[in-house]
Amino acid sequence: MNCRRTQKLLSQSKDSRSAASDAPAIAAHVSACEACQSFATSLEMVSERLSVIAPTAVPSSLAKTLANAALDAQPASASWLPDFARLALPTAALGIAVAALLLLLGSATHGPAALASTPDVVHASMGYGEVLTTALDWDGEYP
Amino acid sequence: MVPLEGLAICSDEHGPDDKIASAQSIRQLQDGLSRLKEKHRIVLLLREVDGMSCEAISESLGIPVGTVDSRLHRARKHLANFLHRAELREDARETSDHEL
Repeated sequence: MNCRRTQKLLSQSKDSRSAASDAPAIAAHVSACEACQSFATSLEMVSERLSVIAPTAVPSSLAKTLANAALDAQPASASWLPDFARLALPTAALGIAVAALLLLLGSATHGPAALASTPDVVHASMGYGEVLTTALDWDGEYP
Repeated sequence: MVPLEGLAICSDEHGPDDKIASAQSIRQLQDGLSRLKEKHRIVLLLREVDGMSCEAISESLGIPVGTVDSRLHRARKHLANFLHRAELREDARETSDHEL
C-alpha cells in the first residue's frame, strides 16, 4: 500500500468509510511511514481546530423562504412543446429576422429606390435597357 | 457559499494570552477555510461542524458518496498543510520578535 492510498483511507476511516479489512494494512504502513504518521496527526489537528466552530441552526422561517426562492427561481418551461420545437421556434424566428434584414438591405442598394437616388443618371422616362446601360456606365461613387 | 464571518466560534480561553492565541488560531482557521475551494469547504463543514454523515451529504448535495470522500480528503489535506505552514510562520515571527 502506498502513501497516497493510505492517506485516502486514513481520511475515510475518520468518517467510518474505510473497510475493516483495510485496517491492518493501513496500520502496518503508518507504523513504518513518517509522512503518513504526520498526515494522521494533521487529520486530528484539523478536526480539533474545526471543533471550535459551533453548528448554526438555520431558522425554520429562513429555510422556508430559501426553499420557496429556489422553487421560484426555476425557469418556467413550456412543457406542452416537444424538445425539438423549443429549439426550432427561436431558430426559425432568427432566420426570418435575418431574411427580412437582407431584403431591406437589398432593396436599399439594388432596388428602384437606389437607382433613382443616383442623381442625374436615371430619369423616369428611360426604358429598362437605358437604365441598365446607364447604371453599368455610371462610374460615380456608391451610396 | 458558507459565509465564514457568520461561523459561530466556541472559545474557552481564560487569560489575555489565551485570548490572543485563540484569536490567532481562529484567524488562521478562517484564512485556511477561505482558501479552500467552495465545494471542498462546504463538504468539510457539513461533515466536521454539522456532523452530517457522508451519505447524508451526498444526498443533500446530489453528488456520489465517493465524491464526498474525495472532497473531504482534499479539504482536510489542504487545510492541514495551510495550518501547518501558518504555525511555522507564526513561530518564526515570534522567534524574531524575541531576538529583537
